[in-house]
Amino acid sequence: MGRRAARFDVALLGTVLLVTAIGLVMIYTATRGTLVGQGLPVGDALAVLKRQGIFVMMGLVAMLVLATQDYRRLEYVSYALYGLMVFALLAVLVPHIGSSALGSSRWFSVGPLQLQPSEFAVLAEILAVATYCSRRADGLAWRDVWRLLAMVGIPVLLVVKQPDMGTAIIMTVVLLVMLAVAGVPGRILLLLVLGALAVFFLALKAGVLHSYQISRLTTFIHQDSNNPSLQGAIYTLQQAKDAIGSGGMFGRGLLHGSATNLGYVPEQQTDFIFTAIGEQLGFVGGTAVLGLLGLLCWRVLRAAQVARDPFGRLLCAGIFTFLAYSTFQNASMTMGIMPITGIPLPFVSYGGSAALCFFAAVGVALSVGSRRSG
Amino acid sequence: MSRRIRWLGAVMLLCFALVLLQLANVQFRKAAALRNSPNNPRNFVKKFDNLRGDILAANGQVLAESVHAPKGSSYKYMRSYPAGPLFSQIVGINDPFYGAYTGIEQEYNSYLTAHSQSPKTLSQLLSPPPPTTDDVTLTLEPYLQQVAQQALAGISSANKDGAIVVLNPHTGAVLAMYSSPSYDPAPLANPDVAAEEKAGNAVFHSTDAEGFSGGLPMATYNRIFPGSTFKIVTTTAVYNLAPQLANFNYPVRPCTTPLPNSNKVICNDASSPQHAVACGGTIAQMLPPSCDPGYATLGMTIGPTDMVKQSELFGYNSVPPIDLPSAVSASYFPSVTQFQPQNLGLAGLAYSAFGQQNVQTTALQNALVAAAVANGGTIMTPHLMASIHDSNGPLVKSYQPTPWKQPMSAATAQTVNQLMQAVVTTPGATAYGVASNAGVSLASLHAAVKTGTAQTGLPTLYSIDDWMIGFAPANNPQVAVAVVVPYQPSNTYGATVAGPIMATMLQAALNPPPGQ
Repeated sequence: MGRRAARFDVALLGTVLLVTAIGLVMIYTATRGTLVGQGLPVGDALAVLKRQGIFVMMGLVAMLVLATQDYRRLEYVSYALYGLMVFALLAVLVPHIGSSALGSSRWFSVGPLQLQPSEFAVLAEILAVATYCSRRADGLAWRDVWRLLAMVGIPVLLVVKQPDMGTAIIMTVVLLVMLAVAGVPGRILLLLVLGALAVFFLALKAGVLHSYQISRLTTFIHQDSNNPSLQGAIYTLQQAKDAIGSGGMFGRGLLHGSATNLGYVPEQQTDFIFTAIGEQLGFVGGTAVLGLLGLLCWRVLRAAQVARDPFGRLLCAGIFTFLAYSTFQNASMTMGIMPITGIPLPFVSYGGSAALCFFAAVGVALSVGSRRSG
Repeated sequence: MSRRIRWLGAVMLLCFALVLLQLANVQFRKAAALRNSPNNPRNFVKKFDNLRGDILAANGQVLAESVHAPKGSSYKYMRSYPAGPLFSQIVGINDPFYGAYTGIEQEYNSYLTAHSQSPKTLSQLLSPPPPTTDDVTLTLEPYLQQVAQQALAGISSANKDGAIVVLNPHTGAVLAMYSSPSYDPAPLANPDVAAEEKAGNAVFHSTDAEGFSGGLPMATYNRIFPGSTFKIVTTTAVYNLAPQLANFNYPVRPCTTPLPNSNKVICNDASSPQHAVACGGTIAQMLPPSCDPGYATLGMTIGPTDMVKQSELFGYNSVPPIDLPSAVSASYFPSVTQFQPQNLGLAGLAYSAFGQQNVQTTALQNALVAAAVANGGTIMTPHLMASIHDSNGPLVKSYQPTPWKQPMSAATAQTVNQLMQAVVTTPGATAYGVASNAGVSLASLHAAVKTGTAQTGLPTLYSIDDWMIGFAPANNPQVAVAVVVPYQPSNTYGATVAGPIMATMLQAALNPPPGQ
């Protein structure tokens, strides 16, 4: 136990706590102005922060519990968790069971709180894929690849149906990376990547996606377009860039960012939280947060490298991809170099299910790291 | 596996480097362009965060001012319009969110917003004074504006749309200009975007049953058939451009003979000869009873060239140069070519000569016609700004009256003035016996007027545009007034609907309450 405690990745834990603290401050600054503007006393402007605080506490508990447990036990329950996840994704589409908001059916309401099963779908996917791949000691054949594609394809289709394009994209990227780490030959990987891109473009052209989804996905390459159907997404992107651009080197200071205080950036506390960082903390703050998230990802990748078995290695590779891609995608979309999707910034964006999921993921990575070989 | 994990790390580094590069690009290279972008909300929020100068009525009453925004608001100041709908169409709004800047708020925006002061002393040259705002004082008299509002509200028919313009004929100062419908500017000054947008849509994108919008002042914007008030223009054309017709004499009869190249006849005050009242004689005999067939024939005799010339001398086909930035229309009189046989022909000119067919005018233009006669033949440039003072008191600018048009000689003006007096004083004339609802007669005010009862031709009960234009006292005119009340019941006349309002306005203008 003493040896395991000595191997506990304090840097990873500390980074998570630091980024979470920054996230809570940013959520407060991004919601305070709007809540006060609605006539609430300043004290009540903590409402959103308090709600997120509950999920952070729950997440910390989940992270520590998973970190102290042997991750290999997860292998026994991974398929059961996968089945539960598919069931939850089906159930959330059933009227009166799942609840809807902003045109999506993604949530279960539990009292005042809402749970989004698609956030946990990524974690369940990582567990199931890692379990399957680690049990193929001789490597993955085409047959295995087809099975994995079916295994991940079912929840991806259910997630697209909600619709939640962001999670579907992440699940696809996570699968491709895990297959690569699992040793799938390069030519097969190339075919898979090309296939995924073909499916994506077919979905764009075939009318499978809603028009607002297509607008959000294509706006970043038509940022100066006069096309009326793109104006909503262009407006959001414009406000996001205005906010970040006003930050300069050191930012305008906490609670001194007018775009943040006045709620100019739509969905700022969730998908566009990086704009609050850019405006209030500037280039220095934005770089620091990205650096911390990079450090966090690197520690997870390090855990993958030193994992004692393929299961642990694949778990950490999947978790790394989940965290790193979420960070890259989220920060990039606020600055117009990636499509706008509903992917949160890990440990920073407002959102209970996402927070729980990220903490749980790091808990698993901590467990793998503390039980490394050698 | 380890090699591929290392590759993963390399790809991550590349991605994060790309994000940092774009972060630097947005926060440094593109920062200025983003900061100055018209889409940047900060740029219009500044307008809410800065004080603007006051807009005042002639008596100093505050019509627009900047006040502290309510507690909890994100802005320092918001615009307040204490006089509400009474002045809103002239004062306008300053509404950055809706993107609407209208009226005086727009016209004198450069004075009302904070601007640098030019140094007046050596010390100010070395240490420039802080930016200041100016206050704009208007020519409008609040009590007259209120009388106009009440007069239109008191119209007996269900439709109370109308417009009243009161001018000082010697300076062009607008003393009152009120149109119904108007609008309440308060919701448009609300920094709450949703509330303001809803109010904006109600004001600028909706009309009443008659098609009038509160956001577009009828007095300056809507062109309406002038009816027989246009006979002042036709009469002026005779004395001014065709003096050989001064002794024109039209045989007394109910209707014209068939018009050139047409089988139509024009009958007096009726659509058919059976119901028409015979009229005729000299111009002096035709104007008081407003003899339509006589004026139709007179217009054809004057001819298209002089009729077009005279109407344009009065300002038709030109936008009056009043100091309002928008919603001011040019009144319309057809061109000479349009009276050629292949177009409207002389028959068209016959109708135009008494303000029917294609002639359309605004209340402001018709007030300027009356003002021209009242001012000895010169139309002064209509204006709303009287003076501009900086917020510390010193005068920045004051309005200097300037002529706009010279539609007639002083002698012609004198002649037309006397003819218009006869419209009030001659028994049987259209304005004979007309009085305000309070019983003050036009005659007792020594008014000179002309009535107008224009048939719109609409197959509805409310098909008449009622007019009266005039001035008083006739021998020393102090005010010129135009009253238009469109879409009134078909059994009404200019004298019966617009007449009492004219008497009310003249009485109020000539007898202001103490202290005004």
